[in-house]
Amino acid sequence: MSDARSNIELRIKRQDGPDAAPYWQTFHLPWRPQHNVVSALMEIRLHPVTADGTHVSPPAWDASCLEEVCGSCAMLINGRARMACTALVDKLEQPIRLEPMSKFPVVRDLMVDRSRMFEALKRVKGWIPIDGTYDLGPGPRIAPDEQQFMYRLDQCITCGCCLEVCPQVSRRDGFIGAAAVAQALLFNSHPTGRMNADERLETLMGPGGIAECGNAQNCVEVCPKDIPLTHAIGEIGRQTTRKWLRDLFFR
Amino acid sequence: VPRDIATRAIFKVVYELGLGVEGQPMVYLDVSHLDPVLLERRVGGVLEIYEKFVGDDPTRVPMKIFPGMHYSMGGLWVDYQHMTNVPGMFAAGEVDYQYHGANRLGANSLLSCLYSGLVAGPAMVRWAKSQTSSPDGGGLAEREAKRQSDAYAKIMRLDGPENAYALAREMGEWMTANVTVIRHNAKLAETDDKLRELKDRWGRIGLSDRGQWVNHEVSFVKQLWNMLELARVITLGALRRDESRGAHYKPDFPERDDTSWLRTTKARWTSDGPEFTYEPVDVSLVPPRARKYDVKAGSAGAPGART
Repeated sequence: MSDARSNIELRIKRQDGPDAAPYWQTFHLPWRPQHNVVSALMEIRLHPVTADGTHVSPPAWDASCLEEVCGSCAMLINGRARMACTALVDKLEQPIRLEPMSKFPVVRDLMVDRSRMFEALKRVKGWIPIDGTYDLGPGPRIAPDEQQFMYRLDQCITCGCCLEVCPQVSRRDGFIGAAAVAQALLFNSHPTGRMNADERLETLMGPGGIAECGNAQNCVEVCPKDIPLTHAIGEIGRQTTRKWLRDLFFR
Repeated sequence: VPRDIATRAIFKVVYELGLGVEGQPMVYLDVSHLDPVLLERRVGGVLEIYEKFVGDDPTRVPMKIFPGMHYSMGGLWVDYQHMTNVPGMFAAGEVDYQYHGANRLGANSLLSCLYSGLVAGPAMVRWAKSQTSSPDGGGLAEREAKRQSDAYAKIMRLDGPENAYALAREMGEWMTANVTVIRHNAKLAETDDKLRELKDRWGRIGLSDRGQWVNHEVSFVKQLWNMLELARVITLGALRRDESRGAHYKPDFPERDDTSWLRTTKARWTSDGPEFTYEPVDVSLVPPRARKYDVKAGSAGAPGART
């Protein structure tokens, strides 16, 4: 292990393509105050040479906003699913190990394909249907307390950390994931969105739905935006139970 | 205080007076005297990000801050339907030049994005429906595909000593130092020389990744060329404009000069560099008036008298 105050050591798990075998490379870079994992990766591409002096292609990773709102730089950092932009180098044990998330197909190196997150949002109809063909008038008013609660759900950045740590989520099928459940609750909480509440609940009562949750509660532990995911799962559980009873007796 | 004025005040403290916190380009922004509940409700997200990145709690200790690049005022020329001068190509949001003039004020980015989207969407549908054939008589897509694959092949062959990311950093440092908050003509001219040098060095980039799968470097090299072209537009446009207006501030020309410069800079690409023309600003609805915020003269917040 190198001296953490003069050198930073990064061990990066690389993979040239979706079907290629992974391999590890070690990089050294000079320590600088305020380095985070993204800025360290940027430093590597200025001089993409491994610790043993081999010139290599710069590691591929995703990042956009650099302020933890776009959700694209999620990866495993020292084994933990988190955002690379807010992972401060000085607070990490060295060597810093970077790996792609395991519940998503690897595109290249640290980049993964998170399409399943968006497919899940489509399945739960994570939107409010307004076709824009006529003026609906002013939207319904929402009490400030409700707004505050909905805003917490709205902060989801679709990073995928909650899926990565969920024992019920696998590379194929399995649980839809806490993120989509929380978005279903967000749109079911909105007075206009509530008109399609049953459609969202229908999906979550089907395969991969709410019944697949095993209550491990890892999701809420790792969520970078502190979204009340377990609360959302509980509340959607209540809504689906009510719908089930209603369907049983009144349909 | 509008952000351009706050920014100039911070630059004055840091660079002119040499009073940055710990000698670094930073000043304190203190909110620790404000009610934490109010802070959480109003700016909770921003404070949380600060705490995550810096490790200090801004409700207890002052924040160390410095202005950063956040928005581009100016962009693609569009007509009132948001169509660019390329027939059939529309632009909406931060990429277009409309609405903000020399100074986008707080929260107006979202407003112009929503409005331009509202206009551009239906306009695109109308335009598409009104067309019976390709605007250039056909073959546009094929020609462009050929042009792009030639450009790609050229980049793939680059085999020199320069690193594209290092060139981008150098461009960024020059632009930040000379073409952002405070602009001097001599420095602007020097920056343009530098940009031309960087364009020359672009041809001596060496690719470290020649793979055909998710090659970020090759697309970055391509973008870097366009960044350099645009950087010249911004630099030369600023060099020509001898006045101060909105976020464009030249200490040698501290006044707004509506007689000569109440007009929009337009740049057109040519193989010899950008070619400039100007278009008048529509002031028929709101006549221009002095911009005043009643900042006390002589204080750090008053960067020259502004009329």
